Amino acid sequence: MHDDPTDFVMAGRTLASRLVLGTGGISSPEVLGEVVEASGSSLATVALRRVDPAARGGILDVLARHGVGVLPNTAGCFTAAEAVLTAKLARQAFDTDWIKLEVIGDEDTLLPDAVELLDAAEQLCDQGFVVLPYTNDDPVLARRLEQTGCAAVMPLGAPIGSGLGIRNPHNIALIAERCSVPVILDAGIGTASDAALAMELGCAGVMVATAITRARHPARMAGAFRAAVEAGYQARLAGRIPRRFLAQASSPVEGTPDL
Amino acid sequence: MGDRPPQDAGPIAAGQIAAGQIDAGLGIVVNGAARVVAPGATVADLVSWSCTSPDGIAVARNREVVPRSEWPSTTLSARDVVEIVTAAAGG
Repeated sequence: MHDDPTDFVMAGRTLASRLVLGTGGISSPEVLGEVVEASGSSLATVALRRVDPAARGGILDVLARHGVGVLPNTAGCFTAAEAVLTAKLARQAFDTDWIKLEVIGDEDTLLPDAVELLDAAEQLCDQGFVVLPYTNDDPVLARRLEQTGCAAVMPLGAPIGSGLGIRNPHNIALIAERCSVPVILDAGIGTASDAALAMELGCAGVMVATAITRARHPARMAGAFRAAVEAGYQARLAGRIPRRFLAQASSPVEGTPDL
Repeated sequence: MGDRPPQDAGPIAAGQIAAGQIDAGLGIVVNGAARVVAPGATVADLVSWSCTSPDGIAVARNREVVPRSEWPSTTLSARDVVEIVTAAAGG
């Protein structure tokens, strides 16, 4: 295994892992600990929700114990105003300027609302947040988000939780090619090979929640994703061969015996 | 709460009202539920009633963040709408 020629750096922070873990759908703090350990992730998302006096504590403790950074999200926000307030609350709660910005258009598809998203991104960047927006697989919108000052862009492979994989690999490759900030594939991943593909397409990282947390064996799947992200990244660096219409013999023709 | 009677009383305010120590409570909404608190109650009081630890907690009052440093000095007013939030699995 070769050393990485470049570290994974976002907003000046070097991350040890290119796999960002989503905690949504995790069944217990114990399973979260196993998943975090197996994934090798150094960053994990959390949502902001009303306190539940009856809740078992835990998610922040588990992440802190494993040295995993907290990336709060704005999940559930439909407007820029909601998302901006949520980000400000997250900054208070977790003492971090980092925010995974999600502004969705409807509850059935959970697809981003591009207009509200860009508005929220502008406001939050102006207020000094490190903004990581969950966005459509739209190269133009990704550029606009980058120009706004976002620290990364997080295009979807497919709708959140759908497990449909990367529906438009060409657009993901275009985004990765044309953005100078890290591109982290977010949402829609179903299994480890989807994550490897994302990395082969040029993504700097992959974010996975459901595909790990709702797998039959979450910790085992987390390990699979860790290997897949690394494999895809190394394959990207190694340079794949061009696709050919016809076969090209791998054994030499010269010296073939006349039998 | 306008003309709608408070449905539920906060732990400290309830006792104070019942004991006649204060004239009336303030009707507010905390995390979507009607509550009655004693006049003079602060955001810090609410947090201590709602959470075992203030770590990882944030508070919005009437859609404005109340910085942690201002919790003790922020007294509640009638009809305040307060959200007390923390981390949950998500994303």
